Amino acid sequence: MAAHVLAFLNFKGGVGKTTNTVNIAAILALHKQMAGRRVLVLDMDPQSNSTLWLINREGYAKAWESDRTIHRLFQTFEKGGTPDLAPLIQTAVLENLATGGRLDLVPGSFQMLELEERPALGHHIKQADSVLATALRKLRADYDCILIDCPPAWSLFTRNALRAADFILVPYTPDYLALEGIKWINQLLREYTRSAAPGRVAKLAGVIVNRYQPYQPVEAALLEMRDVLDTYSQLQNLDVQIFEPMIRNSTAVTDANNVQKALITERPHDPVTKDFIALTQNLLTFLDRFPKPDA
Amino acid sequence: MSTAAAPKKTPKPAALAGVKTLPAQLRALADQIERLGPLLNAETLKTEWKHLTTATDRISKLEAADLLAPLEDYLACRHGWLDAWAKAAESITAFCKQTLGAKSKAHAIQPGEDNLGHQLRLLGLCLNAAGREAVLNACTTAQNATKAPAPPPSKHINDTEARGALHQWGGMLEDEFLALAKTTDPTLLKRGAALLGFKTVGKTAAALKKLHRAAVQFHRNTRV
Repeated sequence: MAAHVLAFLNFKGGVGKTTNTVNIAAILALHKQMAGRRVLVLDMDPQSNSTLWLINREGYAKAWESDRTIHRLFQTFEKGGTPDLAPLIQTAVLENLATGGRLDLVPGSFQMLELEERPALGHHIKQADSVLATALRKLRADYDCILIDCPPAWSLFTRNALRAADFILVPYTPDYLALEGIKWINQLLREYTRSAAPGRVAKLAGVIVNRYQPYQPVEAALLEMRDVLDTYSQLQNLDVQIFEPMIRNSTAVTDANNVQKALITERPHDPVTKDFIALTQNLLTFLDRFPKPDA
Repeated sequence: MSTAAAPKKTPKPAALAGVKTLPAQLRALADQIERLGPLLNAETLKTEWKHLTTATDRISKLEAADLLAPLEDYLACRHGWLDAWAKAAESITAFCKQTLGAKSKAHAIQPGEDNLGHQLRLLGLCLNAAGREAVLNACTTAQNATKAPAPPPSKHINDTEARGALHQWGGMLEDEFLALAKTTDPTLLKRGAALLGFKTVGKTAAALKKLHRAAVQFHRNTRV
């Protein structure tokens, strides 16, 4: 069985891309009910926030010094070599010995910022967009789930994530600008799907609502988003979901972030952690509708 | 039981499917064999002895709490109980404390007892104290608490008629909307307002203007 690959993408910053990636990945790997899943997190954001959250600054420095970050993957491609993810993987960043669940990480690096300017990786080189997809194909059989934390921009790394992923999940905070971010994603996705090989680009699966509070403007923003998503659902042959439950606004998320721990380990009984657990279960139910692609 | 009259309180054979009455049957059988032993021929004695050893063997594999309920019921209860311990240990611990008393020594793991043994011993005690229904309810409640901790989803979001009306109102000028509102079904106005997160909407001009402003914003923001 091969892994489902999910990309967390929104062009607006601060909507919870990294928070969702890290916490969902940790729940998949560590929670008792998840039957010991093997999870790989790919940090495609040059800001490397997932990396810093999962292995903190010391781990990040080691990865950078030993050149074991996603940067090397693209550098290898640039030099004409065969990109390989396996040597970059940091295994068992989080682990549940009882269930066998494990979270592996391919760290990001700020060096990725300069890669976009290299001629061999420019947007006109179409092969550069498939580097990750090609490298990931060999690893799909080794994992149950692969999560990609995308940068908040349309870049080489975003395009690579779109080519490698099966589905896009859009972290969203209920406000107008975040809604505009979703509109941009859909527009760019349609244009890119048309220009790249159709069927090889991830589909928009749905929206994860973060920092939910039951106030009138929030309810109005959610209604606007539902209305927009209904239009998109008609355009692609897949209902674009608002994944439930919505993740409530909670200081526990910041607390866990501050100590570089996942909520499942830092605040296992907090209501917001339970939101994340239920959300992860619903995501798995959604994914069950789609057979895993061949490795 | 071939040669003697059954003791007065021997249960019906159908009850053998469960284990609630098994100890009584076992005692009756053993008594019978002892009393009639000298009168029975070797073959009958052998058959009765086989019955007794089979029953003893069966009962020796059960836990104390098995004796309170039919086996199938108990096993279903046991499965739910262990599952609830795995998924929502806090809820089940709270139920045990509520049932057995917070200060009971039963909550502590006994010497030589593993986790499974501890949980099953508590199951037996809770079954005795609260009964099977209460235990099953506690298991279900614990599971539900894990499955559905979420805040309530946005209300009425699938009300497409009200959503369509919001688009219509949002495309109107304020005066046009106020004129239309006079002839519009009040429940539709309420449903539209509820979709936008308003708890109540009156028929006053101020309330209607507020609703109109929100509808205009909705109509504008949802353009794709």
